[in-house]
Amino acid sequence: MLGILAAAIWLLAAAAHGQAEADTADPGEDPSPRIESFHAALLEAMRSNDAYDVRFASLSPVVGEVFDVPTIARISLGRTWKSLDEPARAQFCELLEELITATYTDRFDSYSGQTFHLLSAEPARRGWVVKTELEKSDGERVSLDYYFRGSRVFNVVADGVSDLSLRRADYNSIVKQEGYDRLLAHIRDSIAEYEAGGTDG
Amino acid sequence: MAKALMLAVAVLLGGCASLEGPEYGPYDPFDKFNRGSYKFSDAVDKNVLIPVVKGYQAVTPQWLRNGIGNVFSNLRELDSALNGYLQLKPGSGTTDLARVALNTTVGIGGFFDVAATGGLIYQEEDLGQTLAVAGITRTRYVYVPLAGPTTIRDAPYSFIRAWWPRLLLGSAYGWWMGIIDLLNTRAEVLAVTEARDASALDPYAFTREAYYQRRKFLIYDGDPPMDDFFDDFEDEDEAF
Repeated sequence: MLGILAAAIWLLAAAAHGQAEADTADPGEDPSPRIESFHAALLEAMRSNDAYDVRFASLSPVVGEVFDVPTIARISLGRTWKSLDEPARAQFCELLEELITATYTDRFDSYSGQTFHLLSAEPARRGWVVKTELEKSDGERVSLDYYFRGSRVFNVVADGVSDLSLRRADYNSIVKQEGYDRLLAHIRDSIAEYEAGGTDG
Repeated sequence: MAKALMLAVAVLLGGCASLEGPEYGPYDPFDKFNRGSYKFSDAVDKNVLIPVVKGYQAVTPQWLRNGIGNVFSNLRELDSALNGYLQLKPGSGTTDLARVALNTTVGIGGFFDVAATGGLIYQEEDLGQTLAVAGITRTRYVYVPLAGPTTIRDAPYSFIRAWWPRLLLGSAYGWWMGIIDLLNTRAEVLAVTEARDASALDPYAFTREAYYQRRKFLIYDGDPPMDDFFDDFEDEDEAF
């Protein structure tokens, strides 16, 4: 009996040790330079006064490099992700990357004295958290925290509101009410609206 | 009066009881009513309020709108100070009291936020956060027609927030001040709701999620624990 108890305690201790190791695993190199490059690309797009499609083309490779789109996709879709086969997953990731790029292209469309400040970079459970601030021309500051998994970003938290949580709530609601195919249609519509708005503007 | 108070407390406790699930998570058992309320409020907002707000923005410069926002915020900070003390954060309560004293006098009735320039930052406490700190961490979502998102726990605070300047100023609070307060507040968040409408596929679900997250952020004084998004995917993690 005592032997079984000792074995159970040893197993629990080993599991706890393993968990602690996983939680404090080496987070890798400080990814702050990636965020600084990303912010520089956003500022450049804003200052360029280029047309929407030119800004989209310039931001597209940067977004692909900085964001962990497959991780964002699977967390956003939740259970639906598990039911998709590989080609469907790849199709969704491609569409999502296009949407993320379109959103940044639309939001950062003109320059009026905005500046980015890098505040800190801290190791976290699954990588790093890089904390920054966007300062608008009127002095208003918006905190932007970038959560890394490995060397790429999977979540951006603006003033306490997580982009990934919003996306997950939004997508799951659409899938539940209208189905997965309608979600794809809605995302395509959003991309088209950003493009039309950018072209009109 | 006592009966009404007891009824309100019973509704509040009943509304927050028997919820099982994650803390600060969205709980929306009134989804059908809430969606209807959101749809109605959104139609009124887009067709009536926003056109008026855009007119208000056109005739008031940004510095004036900032100043007006500061005046109403200054009036509400006494409530924030009180809740700072109720949450046993004397530093927070005292900061808000000092801000009110400075801004009301040097800041000319709160028009200029001189306290922030001196490093005293608005603490943004309220009764909903006090109840959360006291243990009510799970609460049902309610979208109040024309008033917007709240929860059973936060509803008393939402009511106090709306009526606080009136309670404080009494008969000196004219109806026109209420209208300016409403227009100025809506103008402050216009860019945010426009961004939401551009990016949300289901604006109702998006608003609900954003509301719960913002409240968690405030309850934790700007440093909330992050959700672990990977719980459902541990088995697949190696594949990525």
